Amino acid sequence: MIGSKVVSKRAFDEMIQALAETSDVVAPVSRGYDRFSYREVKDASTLEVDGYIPTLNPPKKYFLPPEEVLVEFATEDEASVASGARVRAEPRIDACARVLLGVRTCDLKAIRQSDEAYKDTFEDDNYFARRNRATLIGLTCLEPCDEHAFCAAMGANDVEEGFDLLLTDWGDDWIVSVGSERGDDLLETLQSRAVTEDDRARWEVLQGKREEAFAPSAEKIVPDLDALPDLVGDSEDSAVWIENGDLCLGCGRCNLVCPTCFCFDVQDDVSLGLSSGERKRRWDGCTLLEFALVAGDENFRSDRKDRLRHKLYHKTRSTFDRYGEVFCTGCARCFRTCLVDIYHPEMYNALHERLGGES
Amino acid sequence: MNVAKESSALYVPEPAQIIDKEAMTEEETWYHLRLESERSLDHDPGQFVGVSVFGVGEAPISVTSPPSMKDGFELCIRHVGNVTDILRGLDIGDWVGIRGPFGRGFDLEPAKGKDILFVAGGLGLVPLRSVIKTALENRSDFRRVILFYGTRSPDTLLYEDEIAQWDADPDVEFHLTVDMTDDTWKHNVGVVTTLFPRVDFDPKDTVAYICGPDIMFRFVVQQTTRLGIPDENTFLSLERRMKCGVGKCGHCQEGSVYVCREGPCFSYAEVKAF
Amino acid sequence: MKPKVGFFSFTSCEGCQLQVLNMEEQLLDIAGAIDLVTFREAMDPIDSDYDIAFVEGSISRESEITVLREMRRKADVVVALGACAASGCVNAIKNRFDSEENLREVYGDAARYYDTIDARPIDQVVNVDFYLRTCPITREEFARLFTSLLLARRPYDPNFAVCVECRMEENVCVYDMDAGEFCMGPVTRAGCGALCPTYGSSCIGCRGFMDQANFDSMVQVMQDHGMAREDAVNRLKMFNAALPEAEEVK
Repeated sequence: MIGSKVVSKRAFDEMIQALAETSDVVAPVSRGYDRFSYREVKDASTLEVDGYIPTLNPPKKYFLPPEEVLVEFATEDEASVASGARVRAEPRIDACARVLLGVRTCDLKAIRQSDEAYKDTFEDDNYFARRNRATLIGLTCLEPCDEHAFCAAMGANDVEEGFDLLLTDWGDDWIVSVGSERGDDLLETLQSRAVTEDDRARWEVLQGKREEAFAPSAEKIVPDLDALPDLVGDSEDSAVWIENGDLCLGCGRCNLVCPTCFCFDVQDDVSLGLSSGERKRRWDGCTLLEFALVAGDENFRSDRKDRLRHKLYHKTRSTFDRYGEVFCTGCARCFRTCLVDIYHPEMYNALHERLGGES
Repeated sequence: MNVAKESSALYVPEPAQIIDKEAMTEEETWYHLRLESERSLDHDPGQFVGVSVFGVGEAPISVTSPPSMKDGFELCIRHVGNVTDILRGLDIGDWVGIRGPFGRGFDLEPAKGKDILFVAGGLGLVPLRSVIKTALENRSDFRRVILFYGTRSPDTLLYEDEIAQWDADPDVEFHLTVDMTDDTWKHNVGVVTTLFPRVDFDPKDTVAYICGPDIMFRFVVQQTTRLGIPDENTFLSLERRMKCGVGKCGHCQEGSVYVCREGPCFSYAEVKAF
Repeated sequence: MKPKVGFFSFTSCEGCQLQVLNMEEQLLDIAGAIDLVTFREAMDPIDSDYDIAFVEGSISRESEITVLREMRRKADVVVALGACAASGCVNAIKNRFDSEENLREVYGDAARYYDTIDARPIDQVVNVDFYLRTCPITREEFARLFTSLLLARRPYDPNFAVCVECRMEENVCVYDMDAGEFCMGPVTRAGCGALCPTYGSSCIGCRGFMDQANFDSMVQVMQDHGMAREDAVNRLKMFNAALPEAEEVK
């Protein structure tokens, strides 16, 4: 859907520069080697980067940092924290206002999905202290970022919600969609004009071009998106898992870079004096060997193939059952980071084909 | 059902003091704890708490006391890991951290006006004891109460005093078995499923609550299914790697559920759908 | 009562002991928490019992086996201090060559004065309770293990790939740089914070292999990036030739 306002890129850039003085503004920045990371920026110039592929780590790092202290604890009398002495425990939440600039629609979708999981039944305060202080300024992709992205197959190359502002390139201007009150307030500070009939006509043409450009991305997965939960759900004994499990390094990279992976491990660290310490959470991944290990050393998924399947099962069947959606955006970070080229669309297609589906 | 307490405290344990403790077997110790805030735990039978030894970690432990117990609550802990090993060394008056209660417990509602079958295997008696006691406190709500308890050997029996009471109670059909023993044993010998032929069931009007190791479930559920106790009237408690307790960290995912949040107690109909 | 602690050194560069001494501002805390009985070469007589023995170095002589066994008898807890003790480290490269030839090459005419055997991690001689795996150990891992021992808890010892920590650091993967680096992060135990990749080098596998490492795929990855198969195998065995899993690397 076309945005409501048109603003000049120059005016928008000035607004970002002003924002950068009072809060963190982060955007994808080149790391060389055709790789990108969200880093602090001072203006909106990185929005114009050509050939941008999804950042190494997704924006989840701002809401669920790779490592974070959840609880600080100490005894009152220098006694050891594990001695049975009374321990004072305090929550710790580090959060600051932050503008995320140039967030691609795939990541916007992932953030919306993570939000859902992190407020499900119990709202995670640490996550939302940061999430609620964040302003999301999205950017529409005019074409797929590379030949691996399957965002269009996952319906993530367009979003209707989950942003404060969403920008679409309009030559010297941006067309801006407003997704929240906060976005509305930001836009208020800018000189803008309403979209015209001319804009609408141009928009239709642009959408036609986009559709054409995204067609290969949409065709990456043969079965329908809504068929994936059953496809993976009923695939326990499929050879697809054996073949890919043999190949899989079990290194967990795909989990860590996934924008909809949000599992963590919790560990305590103590000071050398033993009288104080921190309880930390760190990113974890279900493809790692000890993820499902319980006390007493029983491992519920001790084979790589079972863990690989579990990852896809969780992203399709589980999240579909719970939230009515597949939690995968087709950003293909998992593929780009995978050293043995395990590609989700190929696994879906292979499952589909072996069930007698058309290829 | 209990919902989140103060959300900023989601991951912050509150202090609780050991009021009493007693070794139950070589591997298990019983604890009576009281929260410093004197807040009643207000749990459902079958729910669990996170027990913290700071600097070491947190372990998920089922509450073994019934909700009717207002002065603190009881845990029975098997010493098999980092946290639980250190708990063994703590004494009366010492402090631990507590989060919770978490998860979905056993619901006794479906059993009202019907027969109840409890099946406990080994440490499975710990969470089940909370339900058993609750059922017995409201004895008139139910018809027959049948209780099977199986354990490895006589020296691994938990709650021996209470077992004697159940055994003597004319309102409880109590059957005890051990896998192996010597000649002095006056109860059954064999796995817990060998108790089934000893009882005449009214399967259509029986609700089963089962707790024990995974391998036991499989065999017990074969029995309940064979008898014709409906899957939706068969409840069990699953043990997975519960860590955060609030459906976030992911370690306890099983099928489409987070065991810590949607469980640990499920109907067999639900488990089959995983 | 403070635990009685001894540090012992076998075949190694002693860099791991040095790392402990390098802990500077934390050293007083460490010294204050323990009763340090021994901090020296292991060839000196063992004249005391220990609560904790930190053992540095691999075992590469018959005489070291005797000393290590005696030390094990006198220590409640034995910790492998660093890669030599934990996995054999580069010392074990020699195991892949003829022993006589090694001796002649290194010691020339004096070779007959040296007793030498295949270098091996200490757990191939005695039971080891805990491991510090890096070459050399990091101060962070020492502090973590040290506090764990004082608390009587099992120390945190990751059993996943270095890649995990490398992704947490958000490094550009060295395989994406095409810089002639052949990283072994995908099969190497994490716990170092992905130190080498974070500074632009590849992981050389000093922390030993994680369980269930996929060597076939690892060798294939190195080949795909231009390394000869034989070189890839050698690289995987550089620090880990003495590990039983190294047999799987072909």
